[in-house]
Amino acid sequence: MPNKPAGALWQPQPRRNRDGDAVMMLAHVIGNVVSTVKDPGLEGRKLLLIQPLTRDGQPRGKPLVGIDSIGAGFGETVYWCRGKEASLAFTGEVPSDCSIVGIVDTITSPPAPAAANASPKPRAGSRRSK
Amino acid sequence: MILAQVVGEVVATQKHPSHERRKILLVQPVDPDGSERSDAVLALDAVDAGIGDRVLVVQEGYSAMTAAGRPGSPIDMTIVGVVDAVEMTKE
Repeated sequence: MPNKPAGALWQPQPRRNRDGDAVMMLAHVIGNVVSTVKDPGLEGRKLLLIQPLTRDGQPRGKPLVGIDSIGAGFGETVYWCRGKEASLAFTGEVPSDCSIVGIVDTITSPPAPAAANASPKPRAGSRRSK
Repeated sequence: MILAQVVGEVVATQKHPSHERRKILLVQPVDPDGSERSDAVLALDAVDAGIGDRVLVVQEGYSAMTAAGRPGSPIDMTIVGVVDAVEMTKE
């Protein structure tokens, strides 16, 4: 990812997953979370620990806890949605800001250069040396 | 809204019912000049975009779900346009 010089018009986005930044992303289910005392809206819901992934399957950012809406489990690749919309994956009042909404079967993705009429190279104007 | 490049298609059998019959595309956010920024994310397709297209993506929940034609569902990114060209004045 190119680092933009200070004062550039476009700043790089923060790499952490925050509200409004990374949304509907791929993730790997890396664990279960068990909670006994919790909001009544969370009762009967499966809490999973997920690790967000980049497009080539590399872990990105910190793991987070998501509520499962479709029966995902440990070891699966899923996609998830965050923010207020996450609670709409359930009927009733579920206080969720990260819900797992799909299990990924396959991803068809041509190798990076083929997909691009945009070049993935550092942008013109970024300083390569000095 | 952001500009993004469609870089992949995701197939999911088991998914939220509101996502059925909508393409799920892997999109890479890009700068106006086409260089990549931040991480690739998933978006539902409302305009029949495909791999290689430069697209316009809404990131806000309400707009995303209404654009996808599924109000009240867990969708927070939707492709709402295919970009033909981006014109910029020189810096």
